[in-house]
Amino acid sequence: MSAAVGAVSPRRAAHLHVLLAIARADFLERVRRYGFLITLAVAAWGAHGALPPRGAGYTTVSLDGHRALYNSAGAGSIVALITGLFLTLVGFYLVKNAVERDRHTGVGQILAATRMGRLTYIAGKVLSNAAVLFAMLGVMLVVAAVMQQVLGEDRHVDPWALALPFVLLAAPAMLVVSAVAVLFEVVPRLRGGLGNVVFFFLWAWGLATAVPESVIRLPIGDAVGMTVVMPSLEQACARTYPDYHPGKGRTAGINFSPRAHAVTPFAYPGVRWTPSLLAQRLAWVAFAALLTVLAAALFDRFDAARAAPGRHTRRRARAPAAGEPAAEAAEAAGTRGSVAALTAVRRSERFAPLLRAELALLLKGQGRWWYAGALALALVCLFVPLAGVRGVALPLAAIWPLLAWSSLGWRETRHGTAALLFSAPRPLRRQLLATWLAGVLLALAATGTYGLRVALAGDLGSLSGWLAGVLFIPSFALASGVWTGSGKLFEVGLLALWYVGPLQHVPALDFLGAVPGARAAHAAFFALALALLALAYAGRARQLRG
Amino acid sequence: MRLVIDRVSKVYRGGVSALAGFSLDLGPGVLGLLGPNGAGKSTLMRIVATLTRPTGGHVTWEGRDVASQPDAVREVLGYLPQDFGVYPNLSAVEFLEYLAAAKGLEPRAARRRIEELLELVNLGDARKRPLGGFSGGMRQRVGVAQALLNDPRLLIVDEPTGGLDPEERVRFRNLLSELPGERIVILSTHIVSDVEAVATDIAIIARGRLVAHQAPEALLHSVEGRTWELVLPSAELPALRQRHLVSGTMRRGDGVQARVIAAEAPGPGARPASPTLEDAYLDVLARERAGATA
Repeated sequence: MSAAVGAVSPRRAAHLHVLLAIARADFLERVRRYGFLITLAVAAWGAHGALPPRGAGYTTVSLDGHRALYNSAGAGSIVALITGLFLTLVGFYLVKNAVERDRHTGVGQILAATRMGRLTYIAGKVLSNAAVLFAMLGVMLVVAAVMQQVLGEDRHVDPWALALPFVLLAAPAMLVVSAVAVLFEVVPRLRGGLGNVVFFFLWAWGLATAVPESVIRLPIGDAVGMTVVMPSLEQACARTYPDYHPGKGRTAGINFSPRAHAVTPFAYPGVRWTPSLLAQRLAWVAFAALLTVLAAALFDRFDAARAAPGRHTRRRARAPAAGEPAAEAAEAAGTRGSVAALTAVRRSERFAPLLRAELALLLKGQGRWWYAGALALALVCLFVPLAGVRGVALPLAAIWPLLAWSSLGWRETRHGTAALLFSAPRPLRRQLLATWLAGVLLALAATGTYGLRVALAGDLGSLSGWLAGVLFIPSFALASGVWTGSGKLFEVGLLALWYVGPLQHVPALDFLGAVPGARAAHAAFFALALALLALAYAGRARQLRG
Repeated sequence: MRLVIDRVSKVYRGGVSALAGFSLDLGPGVLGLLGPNGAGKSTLMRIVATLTRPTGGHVTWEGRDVASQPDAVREVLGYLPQDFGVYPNLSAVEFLEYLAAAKGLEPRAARRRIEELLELVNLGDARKRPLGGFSGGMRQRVGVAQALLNDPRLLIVDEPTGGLDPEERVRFRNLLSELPGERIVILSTHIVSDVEAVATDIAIIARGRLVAHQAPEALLHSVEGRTWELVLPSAELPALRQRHLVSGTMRRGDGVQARVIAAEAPGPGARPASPTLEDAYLDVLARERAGATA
């Protein structure tokens, strides 16, 4: 026998070594930031909130006024389930920058010039994403154990029952999110804001498949494990409360309701893990592996020439890149003319040219279809009966320029133009104001026909709501862009708010004036818009102080 | 016209000191700010350009503190940072028009000046192409154009020739030397040849401190009579480096020709040579290092 049975070949060992080195370096780069500590603190706070004490006024996982007792199995299952629900959304936006960082810093070019394989690189990035999310899960597990003791409903610690839901429910979901994040990063169209929007709807669809009433049920259940935990909770509940009918009044999420104060517990022994349930969860791990392989197949290995055909490539075809004859010819000729002969310029304090320039920058890159869509929505808002407009057309019109707004507040850092712009006069009073106003003008243009209609109809309630939205959206974009240095918070935050508020007609979250009679919300969003604008101002002032 | 840098210090978070009591008093002319990598040049440029606040000392422009009244200097400032980006979807004209608006320039005259500037840096033919397709050298020339947009009275160019080929570097130097009228130009670099032709004054910075501020002639004078050339076997070069400051070497058929800064002839056959600015610069740095370790 030439080699020991089961020994790893040197070639495989080398690949594994590279994979782990990539994952380790990427993980360290992420966790050695103050922001990561904040992320862990937020995760701990979220885990703490997943176990509301009696009288908290809200429930997380409840069954018609009952909930699991906070023993190890109950605390572990509830925190793992709530974590799965929210961290699958937030986690995606948190980790979706592993490949982009290498692209931006140029490290990718160096790696691409080595013998590193595509699958090795992509798997390393997926592993690094998963490590970040697992670190958060670890913190949440510790918090669940602490909360079990603090709440004291059953202080007996069963480590297995506490940890198993994290390992078998949350961890596979995080693996899938890690792989999806990398997959979105390697597909050019999904790399930016469009990918963020697409993922939000994918996440919402994924959750919908976990509901028993859903038309679409996947054979492997849902990624988060709702279809695994909920039936076992229902069985335990029915054992304690025989009048409880499975499926009745089940909620998972954050639910504020008057009945939350009177929620009663039932003993919960945890999920009985059968081979079939284990196979379901393993299937999600396999799905994550499949996505990783798919991402590796689509990965361009930092070769810009392999970019998918589309607008970007077509534009490049018109514009020769470095090394091509036209560009080289322009380079070789150098300077000509004289500095002394340049036209003299004088300063002008006119605001309009700057506003015009900001608006042009905001709209730059939007295609004809985008304008056609915006125009169609504006016309629908003008001519279709108001009830229909409020239900679909207005919310759609208000979300249409989402990706244009999402560049506000951080495009200077994204494109490296901060030094050029912040050394120009009055970067706060002129530039920031012009940037915000351009966003407001875009909101006016996108939804203005609705505003006009409700104004002509004398519907002051809807008019005030619409105006609040016109101010709120760009203020939110600007503040989150300035403070987070990314458009992700705005993209996912506005989408979530939009989905629950104007689209589902929850009056408290109607920031558009789409729900008649939601005046309190309109006033709140108006105040929030001003507060966010002030926050953006403070953030930019902080940036300017260096 | 006066720019005063008065005992400026900058300590970054974590206690890293980039500048330590740096002072300089500047009038019209071209200042070549020389220093090795990490000496604090870019930090100083960012402080003067109002992008970073000093942790100690003051910078005043025409008597006004640039930290408390940054717009006083921003209105007259042209700044080419060491690293900068562009909006890839905009053309060169659109990008410069946007920056002209941000600088508050009268649009019609600015438009004419933009066309002229793009011709000047020879991007006239590429002016309508998206910046995303520009090479590094072309982007750098867009940077030069934007720095000259507002006809600045204070022009700060930080490592401007990085990424430019030798031909472009020469052209950039010519452009700087052509700048007419009353203005202060600060040209920060670690490449001595960049400042040789255009600087009216040279400041040398090392470890965040000003170690020399002289006219180029005075700096050259400081190594007058101490610059030598000799040819020696290449095996003896390490020993020569141990004993003296070697400012340059050139391989020849009969060994290595070395340029040496020394008070006396560094060896048999050494003959006096005309000093260059690079010799003087390296000599100043060597003496600063010797002073720091003493």
